[in-house]
Amino acid sequence: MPSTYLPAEDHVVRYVPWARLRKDEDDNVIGVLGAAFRLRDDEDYLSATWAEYFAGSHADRVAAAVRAVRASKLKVTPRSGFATGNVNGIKEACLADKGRHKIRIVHERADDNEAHTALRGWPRDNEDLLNLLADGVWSSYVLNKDIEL
Amino acid sequence: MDAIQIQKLRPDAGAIGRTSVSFPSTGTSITSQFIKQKLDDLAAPTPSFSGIRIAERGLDEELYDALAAFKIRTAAVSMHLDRNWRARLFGQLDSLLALSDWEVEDAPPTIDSYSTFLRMLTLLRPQRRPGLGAASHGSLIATWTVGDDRLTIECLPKDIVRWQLSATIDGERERAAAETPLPRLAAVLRPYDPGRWFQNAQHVPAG
Repeated sequence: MPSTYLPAEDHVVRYVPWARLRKDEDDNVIGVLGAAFRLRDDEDYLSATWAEYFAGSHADRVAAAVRAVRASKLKVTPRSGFATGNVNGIKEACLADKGRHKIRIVHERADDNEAHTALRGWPRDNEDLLNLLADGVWSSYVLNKDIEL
Repeated sequence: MDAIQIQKLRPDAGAIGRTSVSFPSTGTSITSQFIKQKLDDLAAPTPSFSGIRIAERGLDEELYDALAAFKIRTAAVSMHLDRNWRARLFGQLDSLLALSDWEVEDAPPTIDSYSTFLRMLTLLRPQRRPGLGAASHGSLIATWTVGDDRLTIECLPKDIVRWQLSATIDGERERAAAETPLPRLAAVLRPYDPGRWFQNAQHVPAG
């Protein structure tokens, strides 16, 4: 099957555990940490969910992506969140970095998440870039508790 | 919470109901061994219950042990931390390491990372507590945020910190990042007016 690259104007939604949400000193969530976009040692690509795979308004699509992740094998915890980023914004930010990372954002349907997307060519050991994404093009977030079942 | 309080008990779920079943001597009959096996089977959790509980109990214990170690280590430097400040920090640690929100694949923050974190607090002496986070491989992350001005410090073992900041200075947006030995952290942050993050009063930019 040919690869489906996500259109530039579309969005990807990434699950962010409680420990990778940016909080103030009273535990109020105020953003996402760059560490939320860090690859684990055994990961070859960064996983996300394609929002525009679903129908509706932008908010409807993000909510549908959240529900798709909840329905997958991933354990979604009560205080976790989901970060939403624009495909072109992410690719441009990675390309503009001194490492000139050429990212491929590919729809790779999974058994437990039809909208699963792989961000391939994702940089390792580039904390500055990950923090830049978390402060900029991938900083929009919703909390799990705010999305209805 | 004040001083050192570890709020959880650790019942050994796997042992419940099993202590009354003793091993028979080698001279027991086949019938006795059969009965013993049946009793063992009755006392054992169902396969599905067992699978979940063993996994959770392991993680629960790891988080509990980490939390206990952090609080004990904090007590060693308690003279440097205000009582109320310390109590609230403990509340943040309880929250960060809560089993219900912990990512199963993550390693709890290590005591080496926490030691760096504690030493950083005693060196910087911030009035405002940091927000807390953790990387998947066991590093504690401290953050201070005032509006769009952000300071993020990942505490690595052996008094090394990986820091990153973005701030508006004299109307210009600046970003900086580096890995620094802890004793030099205050000096490398000084040009960025770190008081904007560390002081309780609302920061008012110059000009």
